[in-house]
Amino acid sequence: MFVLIVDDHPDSNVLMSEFFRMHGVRTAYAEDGETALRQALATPPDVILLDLEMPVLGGEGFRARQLREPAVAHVPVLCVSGRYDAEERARRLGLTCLVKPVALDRLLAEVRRLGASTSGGAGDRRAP
Amino acid sequence: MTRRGTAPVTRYAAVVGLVAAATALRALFDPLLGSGVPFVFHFVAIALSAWTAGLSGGILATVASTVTVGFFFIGPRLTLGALTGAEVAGMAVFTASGCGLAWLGSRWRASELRLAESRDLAERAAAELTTKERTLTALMDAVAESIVLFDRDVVLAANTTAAARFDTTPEGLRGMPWRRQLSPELAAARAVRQDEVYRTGQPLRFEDERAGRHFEHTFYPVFGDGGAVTAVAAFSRDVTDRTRLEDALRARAEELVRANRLKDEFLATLSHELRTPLHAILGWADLLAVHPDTPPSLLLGLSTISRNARIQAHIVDDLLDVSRIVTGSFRLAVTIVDVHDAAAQALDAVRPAAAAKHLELRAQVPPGLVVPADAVRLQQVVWNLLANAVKFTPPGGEVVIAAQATADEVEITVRDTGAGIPPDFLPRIFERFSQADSSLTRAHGGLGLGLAIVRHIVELHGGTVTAESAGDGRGATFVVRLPRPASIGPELRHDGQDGDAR
Repeated sequence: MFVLIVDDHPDSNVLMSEFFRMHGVRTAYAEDGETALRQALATPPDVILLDLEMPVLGGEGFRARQLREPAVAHVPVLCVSGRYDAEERARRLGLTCLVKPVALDRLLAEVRRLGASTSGGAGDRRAP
Repeated sequence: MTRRGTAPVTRYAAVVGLVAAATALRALFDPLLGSGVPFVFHFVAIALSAWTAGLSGGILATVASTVTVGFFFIGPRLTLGALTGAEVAGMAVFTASGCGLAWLGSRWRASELRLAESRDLAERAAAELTTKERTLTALMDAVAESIVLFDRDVVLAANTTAAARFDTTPEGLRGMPWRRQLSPELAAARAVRQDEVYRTGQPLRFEDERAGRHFEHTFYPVFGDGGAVTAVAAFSRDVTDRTRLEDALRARAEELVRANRLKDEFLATLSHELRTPLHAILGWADLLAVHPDTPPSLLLGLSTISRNARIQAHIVDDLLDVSRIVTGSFRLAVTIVDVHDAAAQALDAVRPAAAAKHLELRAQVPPGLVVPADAVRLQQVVWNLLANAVKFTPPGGEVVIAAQATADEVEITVRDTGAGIPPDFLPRIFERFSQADSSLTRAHGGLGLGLAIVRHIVELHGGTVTAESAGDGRGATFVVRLPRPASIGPELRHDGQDGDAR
């Protein structure tokens, strides 16, 4: 499993990377949407963890661009944000959102669920 | 009128009297007149009789006079017989002229009566008209609106308010060409409105400005006999103050919207800034607690960091919820939720705290009680009530959560054996920032927001929440009542979604 973490808070990135490493999940991270998209295109991940507020290209912008790129359009995205309107913004994007501070075991469970839904090869990006 | 009302007997008595008087006068003048002009006074009697008693009275007077004069003054006295041909002819002429005179007199009387009658009518009509006009003027002057009646050229009538706006009186305004009172542009603009009313026959409302004042006008059509518009009645109100107030309010409202947006942006930033560090603190504390390299001696410290970070995260959540409540931006994502699931997750969350205080935590929530609800928010409600009960119940006490269905509601009850609620505080318990006293706040922590949030969430679901307590030290019972769906298909019965653990 390979997870791309997109968050402009470096401590969050380090934390989540370390946590996923402990559970045998490979990660890469980017601190803005633009860089994240480049990285995703270079090495398509199984799951993307997406913050909403970021410099250069925010969560909504990233999601729009991602869906226009056939190579990564199918990759499931989980929103992780501390914004107070995060859940509503994620809902508008059709995404599930975990509000920071996130319980790490729940994060792992969500990532595994989303990763499993694509690794099966089915195009169903939305969890049942 | 009065004469017509006189009884016929009286009138005929008057006729008899008049004839008698004429006869007496003739007798009085008999030495002077001899047998000449025997009818001289009776002509007057006939005329007066006709005038008094009408045509019949006149004819009666004529006949009576002929007989009386014939008896007394013509031919041999005191007899009707032995008259000469000339005397009979004279009497016949007299009778004929008498009848003519009676007719003339009665006509004269009738026309006199009619004249009096019409004069009477005219006087009353004039009086009525004066009263009506006075009423109308009083009414027109009683309103604060200006009222002007005008045709295409001149002012036909105006009330005092209207006249005062032009520094004159209603009489001074009447007959004036109305355009002359206004600036050419304004006159032209109002003429256009007037034309429209003339054309459509419909009332027209518009606003304009004159001499720095703002006016709201309504032009009503006034219809002539032919059904065409012949004039316009304009009702005008000075709305300058209202307009200024509206402008001020609009500016204020815009300012508020701007301030509100700034506040929302600030809240968004604040929550982000508060949660992001908590995310790292809590995450690392949890991660290190299970990390293979962590020495066991640090576990107590790590769990303390974790617990306190969690408390702080809850406070941030509560503050944000309250700000959502205040700004009306609280949203629900409603699905069909099993109360059992919500209760189970809330119980899991408070179990460590209850265990730390050696409280007995019991649940009597059967599965299958479903309500339409936001799963996360329902869990938050139950968690808040449980956490509250745990917080205020001393060690060794008991906290019970139970649920049951009534005809159209699901009741969730949280009961504890704790500090209870003083009766005077019960009514305010669901208000924001309220705790029974500030020493409690110090002893138990928290901002006193939890129950306010509970009530708001429950009410958003169309439910109610109530609190009961027998008083200090005697425990408290909170009951949440949520409406059950009218009918739920079997396929929905166990669709209780897992809520987000917050």
